[in-house]
Amino acid sequence: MIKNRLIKNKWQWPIAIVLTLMLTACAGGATSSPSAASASSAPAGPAVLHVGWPGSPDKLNPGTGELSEAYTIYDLVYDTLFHLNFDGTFKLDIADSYKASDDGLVYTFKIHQGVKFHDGQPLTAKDVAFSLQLYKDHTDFPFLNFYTTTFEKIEAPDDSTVVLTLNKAIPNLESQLLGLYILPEHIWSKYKEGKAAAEFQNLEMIGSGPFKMKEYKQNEFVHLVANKEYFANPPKIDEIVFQTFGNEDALVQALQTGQVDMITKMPNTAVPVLKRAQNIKLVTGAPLGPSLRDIVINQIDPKNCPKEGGKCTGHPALRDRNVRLALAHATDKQNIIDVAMLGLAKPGLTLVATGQVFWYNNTLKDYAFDIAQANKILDDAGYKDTDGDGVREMPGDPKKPLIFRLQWPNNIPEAPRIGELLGKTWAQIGIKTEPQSVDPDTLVSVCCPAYDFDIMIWGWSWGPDPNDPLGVTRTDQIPTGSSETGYANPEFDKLYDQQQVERNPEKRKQIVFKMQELLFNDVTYIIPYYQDTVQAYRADRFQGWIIDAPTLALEDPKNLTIIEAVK
Amino acid sequence: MPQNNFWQSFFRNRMGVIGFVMLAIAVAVAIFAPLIAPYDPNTTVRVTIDNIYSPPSAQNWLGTDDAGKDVLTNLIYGARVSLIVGFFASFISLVIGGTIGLVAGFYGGRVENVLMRLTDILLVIPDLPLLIVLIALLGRGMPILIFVIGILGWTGTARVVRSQTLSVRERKFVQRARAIGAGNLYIIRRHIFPLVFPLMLVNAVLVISAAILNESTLAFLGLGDPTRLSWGQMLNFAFSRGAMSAGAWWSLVPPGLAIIWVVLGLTLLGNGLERVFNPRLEMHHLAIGDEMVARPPQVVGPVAVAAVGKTVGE
Repeated sequence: MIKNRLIKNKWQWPIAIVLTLMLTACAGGATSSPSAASASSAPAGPAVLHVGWPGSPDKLNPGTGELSEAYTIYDLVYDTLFHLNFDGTFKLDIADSYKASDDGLVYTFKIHQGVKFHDGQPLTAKDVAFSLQLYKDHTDFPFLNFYTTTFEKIEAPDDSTVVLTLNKAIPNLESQLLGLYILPEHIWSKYKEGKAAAEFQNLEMIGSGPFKMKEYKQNEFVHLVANKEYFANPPKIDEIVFQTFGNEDALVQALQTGQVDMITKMPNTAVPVLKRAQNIKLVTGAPLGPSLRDIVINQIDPKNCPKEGGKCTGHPALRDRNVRLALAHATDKQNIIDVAMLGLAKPGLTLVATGQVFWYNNTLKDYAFDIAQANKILDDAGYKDTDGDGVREMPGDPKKPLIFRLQWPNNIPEAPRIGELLGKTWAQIGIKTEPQSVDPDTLVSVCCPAYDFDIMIWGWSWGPDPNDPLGVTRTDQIPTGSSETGYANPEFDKLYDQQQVERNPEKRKQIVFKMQELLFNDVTYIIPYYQDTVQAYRADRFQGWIIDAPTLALEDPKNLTIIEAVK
Repeated sequence: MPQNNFWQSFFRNRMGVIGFVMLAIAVAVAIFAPLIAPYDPNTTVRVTIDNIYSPPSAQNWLGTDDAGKDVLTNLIYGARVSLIVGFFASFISLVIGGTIGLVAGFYGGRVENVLMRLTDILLVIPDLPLLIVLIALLGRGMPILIFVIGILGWTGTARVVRSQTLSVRERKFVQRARAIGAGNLYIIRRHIFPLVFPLMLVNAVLVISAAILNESTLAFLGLGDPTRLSWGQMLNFAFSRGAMSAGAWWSLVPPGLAIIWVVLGLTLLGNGLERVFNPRLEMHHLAIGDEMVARPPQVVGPVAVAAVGKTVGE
């Protein structure tokens, strides 16, 4: 999971491979095109797909990458044991079959034979076991080793078999394996000790996936060529060039002029223009990795304040559920969606997003936007405006008005609009906000575990498993800084541990639903919306894109391997 | 310099008058914004994907922005923030720069050395990175913005005031005052400040335009006060929320022109005032030369020579 802009080493939870990372919104960069990037689509020459995106991979070493763009490239160049389908299910990638023991502790994978790395060396079970072991051993890999915490032993008895033994039975091994890329042992064995693995730049990037790395210039471009010997479905196109653009507006321009054939991200404000444009197909849908905007309410109890670095300066009123409930009732989510996202988002309930299809609790009914109701809640709870200045005060303390700091990171372009709308509706229930836009690093430093804020507008992106979103609200995540709200509920913590080992999907779902209900009833967060992915491509250049699946990601290997040039 | 003389020579300077009128219009718009603006900037507008960035029409003379709001209204209210920041920041600059310039110029010696080297250091540090760093450290909000722009904008004022002080302090009447026992503070207050002040005023007008430009720059970079819509903020919204791909020139051009309008007005006014207060600018240096020959030398020293032209009105 990625708190969407910046990843800190200390996140205790496995990140999911995220396709919609906000961080790129501020990542300005040089715009340039590689030598091979010629805009015209010559019918005779190789079919080169030009992709425009607002970011650039930060590292080619899969152990150390932090940005979503890096993971997009890893997915294309490397194989894994499992892939995520567009409908949220998993499919085997490099393995032909797998078997789990009855106690759920031992998994045996049969690795596909005859697979070759891009340098011609064969890929065997030894490489798979080596890679998993590497991720497990390297705690200096910021994220990937978190997926391996339950791995007890990894063995390759022969060239086609991998036996993975876990220390406890877990229900979500597939999602744990999604980001564990298979590396060639004959290259990486030189770097497996100590710091060498994390320091290895991996510029040649030898993998076994559908595309090979040809050239990479950070913040400029990534040039990939098709691996025509790919064991599963070799790509139909010949090359891909990912070009970095300094801002999203420029992406739209580039698509319109034909400089690029597809863009992975664009401002929602450009939707009406591209809808009208000739030869351009605009597509929207749920993101492959759920992505949401959240209103974080600092509700930490002073007695839970972290000893290290805890400031806990939150407004005491926010610890009262009544106040949070009133805020929720006074939040006009639909208007926020209309103004900030131009309608391209869905109102949210909890951190578990609609994109986590199976795990999303659709039985909860959202708090209605109702100013009168919100006012009544505050009146009944004793928050009165005693001095008549339009701002309510704490019960029995006329010197403590309900004035909340409202902060957001300056790399979310729509955040100022959201802040503006919240300030307006909350003012109608006698709550004043002091809005402030800060840089993301500052927000991290006031957020957690400092708890030196009242309310923040931020966001998350997750993988498909509910472990990620539910993990952040646990009590023991308060000192680690993963918990932003300071929420503490022993019942929730107990349910979390239960669902983590419940292997029956239906039973696990019941627990996960119950947990969402707790979070929702306690108004832990206010979730204004779950974002849609908005992408576009030139219909006159390439065809065959998968755009009607439950989730959407044009840059996913499943798309890039099946599209073909328009004749 | 007598009052009517000032107005006469000011009105003779046509560009200065144009600048004054341009500024006066902007100030009037800012003051009477609620009367002029066609809409209330705080109304909630219901938008859909098809009615953002709507082009200029009878309802919205300058079209609408990324949130469906009237650009003309934003433009009118934006004048307030730009002008307030400009005036207050330049006031801070004026106080700091004036004090440092006066003290350095009057006392000279080591004091001058220290103060002027400090000024030089600030002068050579590029403004924008320093502004960004300070804003990042101190936080956002209009008071902080004013403070940061103000404390970084005084260097020019300090240098101008110092050089003027240097020339004034060598004049006969100052020396006479000293001879009859006047204290330093008294001399500064009664004799130096009144002569330096007009120049400070001229400089302040130019500092205002620099401050407005700085505010717009910072707001465009997303470092402004998010709660107050300024012209820079309008540009920031237009830029970050896809006005260019939407082809919405009406959300980019008006705030840009408004900034140019005010800055140009202030610059013309500043130059006009400068000519009035510093008539040497209007004369050829050879013309001054003749005059100098005709007069008996008043003071000795290279500094004083430069000041001779100023003694006309004395």
